[in-house]
Amino acid sequence: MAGIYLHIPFCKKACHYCDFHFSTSLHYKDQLLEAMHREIELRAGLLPEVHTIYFGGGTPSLLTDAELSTLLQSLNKHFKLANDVQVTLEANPDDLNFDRLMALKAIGIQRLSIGIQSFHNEDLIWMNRSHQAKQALQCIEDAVEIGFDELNIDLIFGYPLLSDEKWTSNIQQALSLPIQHLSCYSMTVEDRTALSYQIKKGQTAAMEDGQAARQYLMLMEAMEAAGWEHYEISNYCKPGFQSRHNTSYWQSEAYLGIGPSAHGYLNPERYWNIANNAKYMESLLAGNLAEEREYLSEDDQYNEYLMTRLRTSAGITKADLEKRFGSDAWPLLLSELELYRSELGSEAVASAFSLTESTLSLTRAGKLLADSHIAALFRA
Amino acid sequence: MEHIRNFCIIAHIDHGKSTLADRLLEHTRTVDTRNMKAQTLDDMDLERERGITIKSHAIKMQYTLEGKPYVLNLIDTPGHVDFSYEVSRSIAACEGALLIVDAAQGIQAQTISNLYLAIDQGLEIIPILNKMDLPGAMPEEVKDQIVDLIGCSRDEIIPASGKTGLGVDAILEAIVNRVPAPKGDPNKPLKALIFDSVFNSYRGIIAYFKVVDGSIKTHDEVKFMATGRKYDAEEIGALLLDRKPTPEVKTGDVGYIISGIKEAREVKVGDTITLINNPTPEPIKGFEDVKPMVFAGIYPVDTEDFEELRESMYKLQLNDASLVFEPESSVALGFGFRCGFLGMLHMEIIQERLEREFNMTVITTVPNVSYNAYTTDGEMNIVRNPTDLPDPSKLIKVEEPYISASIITSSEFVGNILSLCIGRRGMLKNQTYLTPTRVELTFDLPLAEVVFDFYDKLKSLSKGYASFDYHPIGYQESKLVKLDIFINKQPVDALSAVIHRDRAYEWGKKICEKLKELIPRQQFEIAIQAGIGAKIIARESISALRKDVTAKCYGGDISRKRKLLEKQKKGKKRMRQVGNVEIPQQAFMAVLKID
Repeated sequence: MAGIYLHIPFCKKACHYCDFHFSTSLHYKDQLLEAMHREIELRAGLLPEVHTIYFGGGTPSLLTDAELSTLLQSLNKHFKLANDVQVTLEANPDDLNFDRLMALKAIGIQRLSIGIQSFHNEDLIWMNRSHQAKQALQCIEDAVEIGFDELNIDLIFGYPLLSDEKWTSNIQQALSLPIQHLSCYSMTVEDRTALSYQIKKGQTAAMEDGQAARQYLMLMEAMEAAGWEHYEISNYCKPGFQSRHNTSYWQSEAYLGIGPSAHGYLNPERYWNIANNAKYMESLLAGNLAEEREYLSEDDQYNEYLMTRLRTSAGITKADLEKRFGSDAWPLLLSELELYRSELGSEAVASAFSLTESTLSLTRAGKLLADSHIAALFRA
Repeated sequence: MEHIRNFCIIAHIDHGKSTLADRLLEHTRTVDTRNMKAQTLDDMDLERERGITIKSHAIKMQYTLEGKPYVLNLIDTPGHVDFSYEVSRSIAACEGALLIVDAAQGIQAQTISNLYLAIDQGLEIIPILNKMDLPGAMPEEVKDQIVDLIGCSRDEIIPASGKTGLGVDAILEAIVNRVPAPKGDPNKPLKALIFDSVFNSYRGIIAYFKVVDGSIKTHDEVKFMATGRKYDAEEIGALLLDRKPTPEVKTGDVGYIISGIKEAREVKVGDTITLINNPTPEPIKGFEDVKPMVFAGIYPVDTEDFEELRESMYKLQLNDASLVFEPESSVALGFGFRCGFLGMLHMEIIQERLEREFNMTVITTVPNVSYNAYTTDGEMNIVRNPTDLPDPSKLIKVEEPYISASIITSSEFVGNILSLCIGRRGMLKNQTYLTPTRVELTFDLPLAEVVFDFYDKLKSLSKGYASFDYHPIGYQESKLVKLDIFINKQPVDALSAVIHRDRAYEWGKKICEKLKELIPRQQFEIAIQAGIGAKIIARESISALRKDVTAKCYGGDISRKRKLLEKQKKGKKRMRQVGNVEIPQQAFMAVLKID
């Protein structure tokens, strides 16, 4: 299920926690889009067939319908798109009024991923989001009415303003909506963000990992009780509605990234575009890619495989692991696990991993410390 | 012999010794200006970077005055208290000394102690006021200090600047006119003083010497009197910028000998070279076997690098005989070496040389001194590792080494320095005003209180205007205890320290706090305790890690996240396991950074 990701590096304003690549200045938007068209031409045909297209950012809903449509036409011209290609747009509620949704549907957007984050206005203000809670509810209602088949919303937990009661109400609100997919992220303090600065200055309390762990567990329990699948660390869906695009990342499928800071993966190489709008435009408009490349060694590939798979509910299966990394890969993995057991104690390891004859995955408790557990099994 | 002048330079660090020496070399055309790196005499990169001389060096200059040719042998000396014995031997090889004083900073403690050594050896002192070009130069005041110290007249002091070249002619003339020629007897049997040695990977150990009596010729059968070893003088010669082989080195002159010696330990600074078939009856006085003062464990960061570390230490010892080491093992750190150093600077130098020259990254444990522990069975044990201190029930008393420390500072800092030294269990022995504003304080201090951070503290208390010098004065009994650190009830041997009983509580508390800062949270709670014997005197705990999971892992995050986790895994590999707790390397050195 190969896919193409398009990074739209513009936002109306900066959310305090975000360290993604974006600019709040829109005045060179035309030039940037021109550069992205050039990049599409330069990467033409690199995938045999495209099953999913994803506009991410930034805030792709800041582009006009015509601009989005032109990008889609360009992709159609330079790549073979599968008959059932799915097109997802990340969007903020304040960009999605009824007419806009109609137009998006008309240009071929099928799936929306809506950045809601919280249903409480005071939280949205604290995060410096540009929308209000009621806009979130309204746009979902409208999207369903207009006939979008698949909707995802994003929520965040584990920040100081979010009491357990508020978190429960956010989860229940989400479950009451006609959506198929939910992405939930623990608030992460990234370097060089307003949030990290506020914490250093003592203006905001630091994130507390006991709270994050507790709220993560609350979420997992609630989603399971509602019959949803927790198919990846941060992703939940109604059965049959896994994100096609994101799943391709976790299945080590090939993908292309277009736009500043976007990453692409064509086994065994990965490339990433420069995370600077001006330099990106300058280079592409002169007809050159603005990328860096890295070759993934067998160990790199193995570690990435381990990392992405252990984050999924399916985990690692013996057959697939051996197919990719050789017939001794499974016993080697088990011996790494044995080593970890001797370091950490067998009880701790037993509560973190679920191991059968032919599968290895993380338990609910294991997911809380997924990074530690995954790193422990890495090939050094 | 009348045309030879042997001289050394006495100066405090930063007073411009090396730069001024460079000017002398240029002026006598010993080195071509174009080929000259700044500070030619400082061979090692480390020396050039730190601006100090670690090893001594020697160089021969040709100089003509009033139509007569002279040979000037400059014997450079190390400039740090750790190496004072080497300084004394270099001084013993000379008849004169240039006393270089920074015109802005005045006389410092190190200068004074070396100056006294030179005066005791009967050297002619040529005082030089250096850095006259500096805007902050106070020539008149510093001249007063010099006059007070050596009783010379004011016009004997030569104003100079290594930077501008001021005074270089006057210095060269003074060396010829004021430093006496050597006074040896060419007809007596060979007696030569070894004042330094260097290691050369092709030629082995090269010893530098000064011929006191007699002369030495190529292929003489020689004996080093202190070690008793015998050699064939394969090659002898003069020390120009490079070595120049000559058939003979005559009375009063300085030269080098290569005789197939492989290990620095065979060549002891201060030893006497003589002929086997015509030996001198008496060796040159003043020889001492240099004893290490400070001990610390050195361990490889990766436990599998132990053999490589052994090899590296062995190679370092080839050209640094003052380094001693023996294998030891630690529960926390695995296999490593207990090493003896001349002082803290020496320890840092060894650590840096291991890293730079041998690419070894090492963990150095908290340094300690050597204790004498007397037990009920009537034995005296020498304890160089805190974990070896006998059980308190068997211990009658413990003695620790004391030093006499001389600190020279400006009178305004006396109060601060008194409280520092008294806080370090020091006893004020003497207080002398060298000038109305410069004071020399003499303390008896336990060496252990000086081995780490004392010098840094002294510098910051005095805004850099205090200099420090010391010499050992023997052992004294002290109320010392062994403080152990426990992590989840397991003792961490590498963190044990011998410490004065009155300071144990405070120390234990600080170590626990520091460790709490440095040990990352793990999947379970960690208890950190400090105790004396079975009694716990301080504790801290690190709560368990509750959540460690990256929220987002999409296209652009995958490789970044993989690299982060790989780094995490590599970091863990370098940590040391105590029980099931992983302890980062910095924790073992953290104690060095405790206030």
